[in-house]
Amino acid sequence: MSVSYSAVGWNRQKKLYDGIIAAFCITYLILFAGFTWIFNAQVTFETLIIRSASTLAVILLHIILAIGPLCRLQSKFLPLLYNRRHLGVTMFFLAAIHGVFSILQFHALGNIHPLLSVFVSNTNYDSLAAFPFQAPGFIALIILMIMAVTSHDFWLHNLSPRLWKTLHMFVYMAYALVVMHVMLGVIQYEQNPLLVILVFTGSISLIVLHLLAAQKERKTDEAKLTAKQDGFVMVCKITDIENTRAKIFCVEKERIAVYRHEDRIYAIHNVCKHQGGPLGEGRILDGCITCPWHGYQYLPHNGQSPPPFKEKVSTYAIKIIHEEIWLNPQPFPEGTTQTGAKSDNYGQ
Amino acid sequence: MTKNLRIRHRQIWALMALLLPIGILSAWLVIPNHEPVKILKPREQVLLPVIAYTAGTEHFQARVRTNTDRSAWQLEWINKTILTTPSAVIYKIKGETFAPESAELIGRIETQGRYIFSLQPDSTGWVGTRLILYDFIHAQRTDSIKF
Ligand code: HEM
Ligand code: FES
Repeated sequence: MSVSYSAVGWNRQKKLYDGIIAAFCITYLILFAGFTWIFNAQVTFETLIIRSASTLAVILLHIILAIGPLCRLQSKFLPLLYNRRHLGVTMFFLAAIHGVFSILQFHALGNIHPLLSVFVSNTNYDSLAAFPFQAPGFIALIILMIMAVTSHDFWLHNLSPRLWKTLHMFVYMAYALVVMHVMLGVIQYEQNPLLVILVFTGSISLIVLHLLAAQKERKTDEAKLTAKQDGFVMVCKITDIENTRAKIFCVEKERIAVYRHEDRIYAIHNVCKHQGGPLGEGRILDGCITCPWHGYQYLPHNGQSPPPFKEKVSTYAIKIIHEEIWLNPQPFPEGTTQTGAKSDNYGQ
Repeated sequence: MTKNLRIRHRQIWALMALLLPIGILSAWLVIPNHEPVKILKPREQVLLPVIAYTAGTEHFQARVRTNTDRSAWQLEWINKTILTTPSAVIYKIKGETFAPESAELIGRIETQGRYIFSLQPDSTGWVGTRLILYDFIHAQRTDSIKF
């Protein structure tokens, strides 16, 4: 499903997003060079590149890791998620510039191979204070490279979304390695505590955001639905759902999006086939349920993407009793047509 | 996201909430002789007037400077040639044995130029003291100056 959804204006947004990323990076690099020139003019051009690229990469990494939980906590951040991939690839390129320049600057002149030199030029692996801090940086860079290369949808299709998601969880490991690369590296030799304070604040903010988001998700997953009848469970009142919107319910460990489209209620599996986005947090655009993450679309009555796309999600049976929505959590095969359910009061 | 994936995310961040602060704090605690907080202190620019001690090699010149009442001290460091190791820090030791964990860290220099670092007053004087230039990337001492 790689053809873009120009009808909903995703492309314009994408360009704007890329423009903002580029403008942010260029402004940062110019400011960094300016401040270095004022406060530490002895720095060589190579060192300037090494430090400006590395610090910018770390800032972007924090932004990237904050976007997920921010979107869980507050839907107005969703536009940031839409193009996170470009942010990730940009961050990798900056980290790679830093890594390559560091290897050239610090390891190219020795008589062992520069890559080997990263690991063996300092062998104090048993000391925290003198730890060979470049080793964690190198491993982090390899992880970030694998992420950047496999970030394209081509790999998503070829690796299966599940494997792809699992692979992309390694970014957390890369983050921890980068933190230790900085803490055991320059921070040990720099008397100005600004960098320690920034690293510490950054890490704590990410931890708090992720834990808050996890707590919120847990509430949805553990909400108790007690009214049951003939395999159906009562989820909410019709009036609880706005037209073109949905509510998400977790029934028997699966999340289901219950949508209202015109005068009917439909239920589909909440997990988008692309990267697992929450379909119930999207809305109906041009008659299709549109994923809030990157805009994949599904028809409400059969869970199928409109032609020429081939994605399908499961659908569920719905009935309405006394203006209450009852849902059968037993999924129909993906793409099965459902009539949905209609309220007696609609259209009156 | 599926429920399993959500649980895995939660577990990973619970682990990170434990490990990251431990990692950061233990790395912070081993910083040698970390000084009191002076976050945005600009690098000192003004040289103190009295040169108390001086020493050098063909590559570097080091001068220990003070004021007339000897209440403030500085190290003025000049790179006479361009350094080949761009990751140099200066340590101060008494005697001959050097280990970065126990030596006093004076500051970090770049490959070229002149630097001024403030020093703790040293009542024992500087005769016999050594400044060690240390390359922290390759964990080796690259040069030293004896006063
Ligand atoms: C091949 C991999 C890497 C190598 C060889 C490497 C090497 C280095 C070196 C030698 C320094 C000290 C530079 C200086 O004298 O200022 C440094 C610092 C730093 N590194 Fe890395 N690094 C690598 C990967 C990374 C990655 C992946 C990141 C983050 C995304 C990163 C972030 C930083 C930061 C923030 C600093 C402190 C600022 C600076 O001095 O540049 N590094 N690294
Ligand atoms: S469109 Fe990407 S996750 Fe739904």
